[in-house]
Amino acid sequence: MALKVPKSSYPQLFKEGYKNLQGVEEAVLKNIQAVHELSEIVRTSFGPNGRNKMVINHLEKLFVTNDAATIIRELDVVHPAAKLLVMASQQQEQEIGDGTNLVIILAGELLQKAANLLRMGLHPSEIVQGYELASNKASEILDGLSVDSVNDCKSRSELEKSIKSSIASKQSGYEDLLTNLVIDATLMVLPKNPQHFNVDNVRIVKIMGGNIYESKVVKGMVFGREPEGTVNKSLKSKIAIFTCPLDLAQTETKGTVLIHNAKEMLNFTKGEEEQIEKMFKEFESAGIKVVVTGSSVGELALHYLNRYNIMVVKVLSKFDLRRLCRVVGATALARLGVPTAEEMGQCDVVETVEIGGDRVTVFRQEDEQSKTATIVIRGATQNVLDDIERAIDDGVNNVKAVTRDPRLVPGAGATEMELVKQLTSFGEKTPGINQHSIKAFAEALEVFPRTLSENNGLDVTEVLSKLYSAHHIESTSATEDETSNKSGACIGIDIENDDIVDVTKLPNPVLDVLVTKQWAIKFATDAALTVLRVDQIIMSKPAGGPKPPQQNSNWDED
Amino acid sequence: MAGRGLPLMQPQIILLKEGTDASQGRGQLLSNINACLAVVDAVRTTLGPRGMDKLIVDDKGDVTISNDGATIMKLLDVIHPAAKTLVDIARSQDAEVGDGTTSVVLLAGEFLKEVRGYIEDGVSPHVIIKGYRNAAQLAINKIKEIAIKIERTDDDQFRDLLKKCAGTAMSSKLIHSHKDFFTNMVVNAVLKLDQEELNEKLIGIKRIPGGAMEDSLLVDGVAFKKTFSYAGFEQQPKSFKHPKILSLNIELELKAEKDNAEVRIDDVSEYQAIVDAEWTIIYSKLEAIVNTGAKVVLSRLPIGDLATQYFADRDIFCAGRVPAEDLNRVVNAVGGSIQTTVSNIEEKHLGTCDYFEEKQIGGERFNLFEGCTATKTCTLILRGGAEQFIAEVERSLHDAIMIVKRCLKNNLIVAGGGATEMEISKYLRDYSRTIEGKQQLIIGAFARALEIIPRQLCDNAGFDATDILNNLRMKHAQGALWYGVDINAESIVDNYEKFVWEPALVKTNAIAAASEAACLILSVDETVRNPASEKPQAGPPMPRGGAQRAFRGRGRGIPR
Repeated sequence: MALKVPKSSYPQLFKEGYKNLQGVEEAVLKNIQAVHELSEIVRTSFGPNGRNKMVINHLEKLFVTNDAATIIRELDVVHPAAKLLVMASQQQEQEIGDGTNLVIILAGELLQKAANLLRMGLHPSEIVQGYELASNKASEILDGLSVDSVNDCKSRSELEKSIKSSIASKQSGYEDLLTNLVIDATLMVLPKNPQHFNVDNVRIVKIMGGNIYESKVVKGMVFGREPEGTVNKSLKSKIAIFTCPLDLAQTETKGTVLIHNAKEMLNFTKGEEEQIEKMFKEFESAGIKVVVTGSSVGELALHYLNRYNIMVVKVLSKFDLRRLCRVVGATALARLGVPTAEEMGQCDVVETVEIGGDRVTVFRQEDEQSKTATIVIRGATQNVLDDIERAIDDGVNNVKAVTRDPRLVPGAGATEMELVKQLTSFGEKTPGINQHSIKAFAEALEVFPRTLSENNGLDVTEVLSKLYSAHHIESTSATEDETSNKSGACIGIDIENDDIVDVTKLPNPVLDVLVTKQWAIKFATDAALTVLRVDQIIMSKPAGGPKPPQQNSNWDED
Repeated sequence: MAGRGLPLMQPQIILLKEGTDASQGRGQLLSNINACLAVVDAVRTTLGPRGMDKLIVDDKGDVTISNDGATIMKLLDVIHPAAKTLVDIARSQDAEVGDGTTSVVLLAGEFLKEVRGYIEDGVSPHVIIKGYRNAAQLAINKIKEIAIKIERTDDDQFRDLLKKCAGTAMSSKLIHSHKDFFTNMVVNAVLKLDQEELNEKLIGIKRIPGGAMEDSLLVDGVAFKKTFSYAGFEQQPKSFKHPKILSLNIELELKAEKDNAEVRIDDVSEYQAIVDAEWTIIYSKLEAIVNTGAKVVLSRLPIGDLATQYFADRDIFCAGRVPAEDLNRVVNAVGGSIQTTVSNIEEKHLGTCDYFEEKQIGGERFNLFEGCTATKTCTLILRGGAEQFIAEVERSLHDAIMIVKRCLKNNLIVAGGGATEMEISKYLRDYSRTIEGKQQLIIGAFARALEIIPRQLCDNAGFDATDILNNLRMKHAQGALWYGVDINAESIVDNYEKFVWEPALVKTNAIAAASEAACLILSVDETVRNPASEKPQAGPPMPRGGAQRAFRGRGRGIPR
């Protein structure tokens, strides 16, 4: 197999410096190797006992995380085939927001198995075919594996089921605390029809200091800055929101004020002052107590706002301004002027509070439902804060996933084990050469329970064989209870007690969202197939010559 | 792990960008721990009353002498990624509590050091992390349980409490020989603030080199350095009783009203009129100010010579280019508000105070506002021999101010001098004996690590740490809750009786932050460093020697 093609087959076709790799040996297997390397990097981060990685990106920013999406994003992968995997994981991030690690690990493993098949003599296109069949079948089987579902998105315990295991895999040890925070926040903002739940409505503010147990949920929005003026608390107030600067209008075109005589000159400034005073006087008489701007505040304007006891808050992010509009029900105006009653917002409490050493401004509504909830995270280091933010983010995304598809499957490797079992028997029933690749696909899924037990320090071989037998025995002997057909499918790894167990029967059942797995399998297969289909890599010469090594004149000093 | 490191394909596959540096595994974890310990060693000797100061010269050649953990950590310019975490926790302790920054770094280092052996023996870091989180939570709960709540019934007594806490914070600093003097000052200053808000930014600290430390004073109001003045200033009166004070944000000078205004005249006679108009504008402004009845006029922007002389003629004092934060403090102290225009200024926009004076302090002239009506602010004027010396005094006072502030908000206190740590250590040790499995070892390690605080106190004071710790352990085992190191007598003493008090918050926050940092470092098993992208501007991308420091401690341990 794979005849070595002489390199000089295209002597004149390409410019000097082009790299050309082709054939199974040079291209496919090499790609597989690269992808495998990548998936090895994130593999140890999988599961609740996964380890963190310290990544320093090209801007010298430090990340400490076990979130695969973040690791991969900051890694600066250059290998073209490995980049495909990165893209697949990013798709997962966008679609579900969680389970990025699944994609990379599975794709890596699928390709690793494919490499074996290639060595056996299968043609890549045959493997592709088999994998496609298997992937479709897996998705079908998965539909039948659902053991539970979130029936009521407004119930704490139901939501808890769906997000706890996801958070536990990111921040093991803090899962109870974080789950409660996420649930508190989501319940505050969950609209009547849960389908309309918007992830964006749960905001996160990170304030350094204190410890994580001091984190809390604030109804409404929190901004990390103080009001501009002297007023820093306002109750039951009408709010006007502007995107323009609070100042006198300036012309965009360069203009010159022409003064013809002394009188004009005398009245010039006076006119300005009067104009601006009049404006804010109107504000006051309209009952506006808080003005928010997305831009700068002129000094003169600030002066009059203070004089009329109007609170001024600067919100520089356009997105935050838009969210604030939603919270208070205001329309952001692009022109300075008194808003109409419909354009004004209303907020029960706007105040400045001190959290840790920082003073922040809170916009809070007193009523039951709020449009936005903010989770204030406390922690001693920036890296911890960032990592907790990512865990919360995954949790919130999971809530969104269950509002779309409430089905849950057993976690902790149970689902994957069941897929392995059923896919293998499916493969055995399939005639022809596809049988090999379907069985390889099944074997690849085994990587999850294997990695879980590996990261947990268990004896992999022992756990896997126990799992295999558990899944086979229980489905054949239908004696124990009526759902025994399913109970076998729920056997997963018990991380706490280093054993296998029916994960749905634990005091804290380990359940994953079905769609997460479904998409992960789909994206992983797609990525793997794309890599397999490549048989030739042509790399152009990078522009410019190689850079000379960095000269450091100070080597001798220090 | 299938295939990792097996030479499957001969040519090396380039997965990551060239120059990317990756290291992983247990060796990497150990070297991270070693790097942290190296940083800890730098601040170790500063702990406690007998701690030594550090002199740090930064890349600009500025000299800082400090005993404050957070300041030292900040100036050290640590670039090792794991060790940076320690800088972070020192800063967080500084922001949250203000004091105990050295302790927090020390504790984090010790937590790591204690488990290094376990890591070497192959204990999974996850077991350790779980144990540490558990232990930290237990310790914090225990502190809350044993802390003594001081009721704020008697104001004098409460004041006393605040002084004790401030004194403990100060005793480890440069100023500890003048403890009584400064504790009084600090407590007075904090009590001056609005008791609801306690915004410590409203306490101004001014440094004037020269004089002795005891010449420092607390101004019940605001003080700031005399600003740049124009001719005519000398004629102005320099002291007032009950003056009205006007704070402005206007430039009182002859100048163009608007940048893009242009004058076009057809007639020569008009020219004089325009000039007159300009004068009229400024004179009308000045007149408006005089009409308000203000005797002291302050402005953030310059006050020109014309205005200065105009005010001098009318016995008004003026100062331009007052720094914004000083002006804010003035407004907070004397009342009124900062005006951006001179038209229709009303009585309520003016402030007043009992006494205003321009006074010579050391080599500088200062404007002092005393006996302010609305006073929610005060100013500390620090004197001392050298610039660095006063800077350190300022930092120490800041720590003490923060401590007093925390006491006011949360009046739980514990005894210092290592007493609390010994008690928690004992409690955790006893607790660990009641559980089985590896957790016993881990919680025991946590308990041992806490002993670093009294031990370091002894070491820095030159005592026999082993001996004193043994005595302390014995006392605590007998149930004496507050026995700690007695620095003066080289023995042990009940620190509660000796009034070595600290807010409980300092301890709980330090333990929480330190264990969090330790867990973070333990949870990492791989470091990937991407090459830094080209900086847009030329110039050294890293501080000198940065490159070498970056490579040290990763992949191999620091030789110690």
